Amino acid sequence: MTFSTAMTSLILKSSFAIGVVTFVSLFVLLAIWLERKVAGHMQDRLGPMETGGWHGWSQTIADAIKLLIKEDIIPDAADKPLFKLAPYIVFAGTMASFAVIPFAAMLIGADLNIGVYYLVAVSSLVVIGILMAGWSSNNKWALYGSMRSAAQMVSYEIPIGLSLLVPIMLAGSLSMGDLVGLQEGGMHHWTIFSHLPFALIAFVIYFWASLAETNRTPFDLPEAESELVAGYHVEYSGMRFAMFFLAEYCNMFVVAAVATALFLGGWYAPIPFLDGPDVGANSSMLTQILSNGIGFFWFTFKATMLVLVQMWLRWTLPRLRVDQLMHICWKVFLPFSFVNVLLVSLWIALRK
Amino acid sequence: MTTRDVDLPVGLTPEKWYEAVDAIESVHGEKMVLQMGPQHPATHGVLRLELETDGELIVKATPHIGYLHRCFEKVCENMTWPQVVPYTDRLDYCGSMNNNLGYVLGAEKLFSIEVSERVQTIRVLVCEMNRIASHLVAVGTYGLDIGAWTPFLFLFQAREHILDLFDELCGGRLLYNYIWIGGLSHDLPDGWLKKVRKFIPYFEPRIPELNSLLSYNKIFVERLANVAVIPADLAIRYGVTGPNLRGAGVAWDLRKAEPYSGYETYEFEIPVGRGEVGTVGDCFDRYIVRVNEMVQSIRIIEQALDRLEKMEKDDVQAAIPKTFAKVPIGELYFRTEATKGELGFYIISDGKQKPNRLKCRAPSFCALSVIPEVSPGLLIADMVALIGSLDVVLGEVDR
Amino acid sequence: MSYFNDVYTGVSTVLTGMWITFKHLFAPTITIQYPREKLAMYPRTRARLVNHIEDCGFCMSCARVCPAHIFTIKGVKMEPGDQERIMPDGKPKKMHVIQFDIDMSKCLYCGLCVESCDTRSLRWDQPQELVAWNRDEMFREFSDFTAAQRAELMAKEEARKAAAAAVKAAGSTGVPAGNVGGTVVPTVKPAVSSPQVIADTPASPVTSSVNEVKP
Repeated sequence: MTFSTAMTSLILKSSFAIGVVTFVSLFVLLAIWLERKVAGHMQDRLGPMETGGWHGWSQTIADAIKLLIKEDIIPDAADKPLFKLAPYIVFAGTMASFAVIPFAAMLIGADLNIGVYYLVAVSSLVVIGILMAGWSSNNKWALYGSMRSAAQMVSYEIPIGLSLLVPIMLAGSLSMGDLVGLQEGGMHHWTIFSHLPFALIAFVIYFWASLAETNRTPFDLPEAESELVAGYHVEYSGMRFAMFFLAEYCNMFVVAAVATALFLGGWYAPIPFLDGPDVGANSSMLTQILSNGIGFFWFTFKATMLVLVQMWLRWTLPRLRVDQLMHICWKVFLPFSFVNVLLVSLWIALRK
Repeated sequence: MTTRDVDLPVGLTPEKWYEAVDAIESVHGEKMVLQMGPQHPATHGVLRLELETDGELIVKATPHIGYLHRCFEKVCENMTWPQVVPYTDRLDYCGSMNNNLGYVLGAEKLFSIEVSERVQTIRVLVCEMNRIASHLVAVGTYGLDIGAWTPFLFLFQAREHILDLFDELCGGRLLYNYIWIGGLSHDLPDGWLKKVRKFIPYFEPRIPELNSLLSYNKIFVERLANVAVIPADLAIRYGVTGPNLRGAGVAWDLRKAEPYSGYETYEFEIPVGRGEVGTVGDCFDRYIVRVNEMVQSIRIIEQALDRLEKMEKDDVQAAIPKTFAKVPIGELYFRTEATKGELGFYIISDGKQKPNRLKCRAPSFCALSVIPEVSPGLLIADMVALIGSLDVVLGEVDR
Repeated sequence: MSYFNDVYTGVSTVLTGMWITFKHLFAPTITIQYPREKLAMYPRTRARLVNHIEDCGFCMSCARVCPAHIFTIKGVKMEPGDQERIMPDGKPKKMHVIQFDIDMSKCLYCGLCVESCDTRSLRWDQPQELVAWNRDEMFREFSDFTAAQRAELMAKEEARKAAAAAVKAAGSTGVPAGNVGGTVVPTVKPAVSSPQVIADTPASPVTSSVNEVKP
């Protein structure tokens, strides 16, 4: 490899990374606005309406600026290095997941052959960050929050892993690109529909467990407002708090994106007719851009829809209790996903 | 862990064993004291709970009150008889009409004032509307405590209708000072009864909606069933009244037991907790009793409306004494069924222009006193559920 | 079996709830956009006290019934030459109300004063915004006398008082001391531990223009 090709590759990679960060920031801004709008309209009100003119579109931007210029308060009794580090670890753990998210056929940061494995591993980093935040705040509520969070996330990794196994077993690959590539050709080829009912059950379990993974209602115990005030980030303010917030919404997108890639056909349109033009080895640059652009649209569209469902659930359901959370994880999700995995493997064996 | 006559594993001396056991016990038995409140979202105001916790389990809970103490009883000793009424508004600020009525009926008994039937009916009407408004707050914020945001706002819409009606009636949205000794502060505005009529068909479908959105949601039921059970004998021992007592399965309602202001002429039922999803007297029973009471209040409102529409207009202030110059000497206790339970006023008059002593028996205070009894063994999340289900209003607890 | 039943009710009730919130997503909103849309206020709404001073007969009933003692009222007896005015209750106006201050920051909003006002000079008005940037702005003065007029009336009052005192000193019959010159010492002791109504003007923030009601 010559120096120039290495440089080009580096530039491409870094511009992709910058693109992802930009996209994520924009998505978070949109998602927070959307969440407030969804909440507002579900509760027969309007949500933010003033800032920026049309339906308060720039409310989140204003909030972000406010958080940026706020004083960064560090409690006197806090374990300061850990306290400062925690939000970055949470944020980094979330952002690292984006490396393997297949936005489109060619828009994958790194199509690792162990993509899903990497994703599950990296997203566990968040637990460490939250534990650090809760412990270092030196606040009892924060400690409760982080302990709940740790217990919850560690438990829910298992049903998540088991339900992710189903499409992996069906596809026989851990690479995100492969997993999506096999679902080409319309809705009935999507994993969720092509392998009924196993994939559907796996999807439902994954989606619910992912709510726990992202600390969303009904599993928002770590930050349970009416119990723990704000949970693990009770002592955080300003930009450090914004980091947690950003990470939460990024995480929402990540779990939705994984569900999209593994179950809902990734970047493929519901009907093949709506897909972008086929890209061959000698397609023009324009065709490539067009194809990937359309793929990107479908991917983000599906993921955003899933994020909307997460919001919908949040504004409908009450919160579970700690023991019930564990009950659901170990006594409902786990047996169901185990049986599911067994049946899928049986089915695969029989099919051969 | 304290039984020490165990077969020791090989290679372990008793000393080492005791050391290990002590080490485990010292860690295991370590309690953490958690100050819940006074500025905690779930303590409904400024209640402070000192929780001794072992992990998430509560070992001991001690409520500390007094953050909202306003010397109500002492202030009343320096107020003339009618001037006390606006202060009773501020006891249970969710159910001001009922507080007014409790004091006013007591004072009317002292002064031997008889009010007209129309005034009585209006009083019943506004009190029942106020009861609905108060229970809407109780039920809505309870959903909020459990983590459901949306029902809270749905219920507050309905409450807003009632508050608007009260605003039109007497000019206050929360603190009414509407029921006066011997009458009412205002007569009904024109067309007001029609608006109340319109409110009923608006409100009635809200209850089934609430039930399917929140009350019988599996998560909500699981959170409340069998949690913080207050059995009937415990409730009676602590003087718990109102929906909390009825949730324990005791059909005790002063509107039936000792009717006042013409309540004996209305048809309604006393909803009691039946242990629908768990034990009788658990959080869910206390919650569902409030929901069902709203339905009964609607029934009373309908009856009161029917009567008022037939009645001739009369002067609602006719029985108000011009001066409170001649004050009988004596003491009396008058109790009414306010939104939170038995609201009693013990009035001592020494013939002066001001009450010599005015003791208020606040239902929320008694309800709060049960917390140390039932809280051991609850989780922190259950504690939130318990406080919410008791529906304490700190304005009334601290007075 | 109950296990599967639990799972089933869990899923079905969650779906029911989602359906309800989904319906509300498209229901018309009930909120209003406040600064641009405003709700009409009801005529009885207790928002702010206002005294129509020309109708005020200095009967002190408002000060007497007020539980919070928010009124500071001062009056001077009218002299025969002063303009006569028939009050809404049919009686002629007898007193100049040279000071009528309401401290809204102390107000309980119980409405007892308004109901007790025989001439209906004290009323509620319903402004949409009740914002004040400091406590002084909640201190409202209603007397329509300028500072100069007030000083003049007070001087006259003093003179009359002095004269009465002189008469008294001279040993003649005179009037009972309490009633001299109609200063605020009311002959009828109010039932309330009669408050600051008699006291001197508290350090009023606005002294120059009297009738001004701060926005």
